[in-house]
Amino acid sequence: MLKRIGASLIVKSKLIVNSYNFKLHLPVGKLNHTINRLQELRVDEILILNTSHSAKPASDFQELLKECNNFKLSTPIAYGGGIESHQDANSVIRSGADRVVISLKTLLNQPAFSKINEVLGEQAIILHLPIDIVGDNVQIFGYEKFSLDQISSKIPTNWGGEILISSVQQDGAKLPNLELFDTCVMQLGRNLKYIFTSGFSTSTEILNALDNDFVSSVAIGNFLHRSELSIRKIKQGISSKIEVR
Amino acid sequence: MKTCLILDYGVGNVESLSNFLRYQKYNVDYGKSRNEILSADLLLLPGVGSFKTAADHISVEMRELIKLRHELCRPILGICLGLQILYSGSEEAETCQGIGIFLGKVERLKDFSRIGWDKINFDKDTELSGKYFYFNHSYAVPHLVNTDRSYKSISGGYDSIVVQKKTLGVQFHPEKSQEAGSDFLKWAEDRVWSMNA
Repeated sequence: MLKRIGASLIVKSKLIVNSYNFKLHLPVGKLNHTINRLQELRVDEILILNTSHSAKPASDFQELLKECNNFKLSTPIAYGGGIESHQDANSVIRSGADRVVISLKTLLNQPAFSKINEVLGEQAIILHLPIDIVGDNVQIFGYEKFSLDQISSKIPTNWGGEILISSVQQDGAKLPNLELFDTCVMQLGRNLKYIFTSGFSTSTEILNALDNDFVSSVAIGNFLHRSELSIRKIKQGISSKIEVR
Repeated sequence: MKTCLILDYGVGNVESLSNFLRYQKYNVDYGKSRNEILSADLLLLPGVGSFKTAADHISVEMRELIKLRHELCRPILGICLGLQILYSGSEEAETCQGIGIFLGKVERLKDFSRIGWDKINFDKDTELSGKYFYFNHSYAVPHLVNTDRSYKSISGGYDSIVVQKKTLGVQFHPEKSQEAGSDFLKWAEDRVWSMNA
């Protein structure tokens, strides 16, 4: 199974944005152009994270996907934004997503989390943990009362889903914090599978991240929207070290 | 234009499949009646979801209709969960029955899940050799010796394509495998569904 090179698309008000420290969002363009381009460049998967979602995630997702009706969308899509129940999750999948991205809020609602697992299967779920460093503490953005150990205890042993780790400090920066990612893996558990995002812009950084046995994917964010970079170039850059598609 | 009936059992990425099939020149329909299940050019059992949810939505009558379609050598395609539900049962839901075209029990993966791209190990060179397909599963089908054909994925070693008569099950998602997905459907039409039974 190949390690994946994916794209992380942050959406606000139906537009793709460049995100900086989770606070500043600058519009980049329409979803359909970007998805079409990424697909042509053979991106392995696309994560769509909707920051301006409503209480009806499936409707939001359908609205976004409408723009992609004029081409054959045949790339794996994971969608996140307001998914809090199995009904939400199933509706999003039925609308065209292959996996759902849920937040810590949904994990903490353990009956809802269990039901999503039961209905969709573990492999269809990505748990997003945005990591914030406050002083010497590593914590989840917006959930300062919870330690990573406490969060780890809520995730089933040998869970087949994946954990998406992003970093507030590295969001929009041009350098990933691999040490922080390693800390998260150590504290959350080595029996889980991880997707790293935030700050990736070079083949070397991506190779270093994928060198971690527990990392199954790196998702590139803001840097993908710069014209000189393409998924294809990144893949070419790492193809001498690991097998890519 | 051929017709494809997507069996809608409450879970599954039905919109993705519709989009894919329309671009492959299929008229897509949903339905559960006897006539619809038996007469469509292709019956598709979608993926994404748990075994229990799918099994709960497939009635005894529907199970028998799908088996009849299989016996009549009418093309069936099961994708991911849609492949697994063609088996007798699954470790994912011990009390639930599958359709039972393939007599075996679906097993939990030793490494919990396989998510990503992999090649298929064909016995000889085919149009699909060397192509990558997208997988996303946490259970896998057991290898059975009494199928017409089966092929394993390169890295997982699990059966990823299983063929019996004109029933074809795949563990990967052709609809999400980019150009390899279209190549697969052409292969299925030429090498499985067009063959004389």
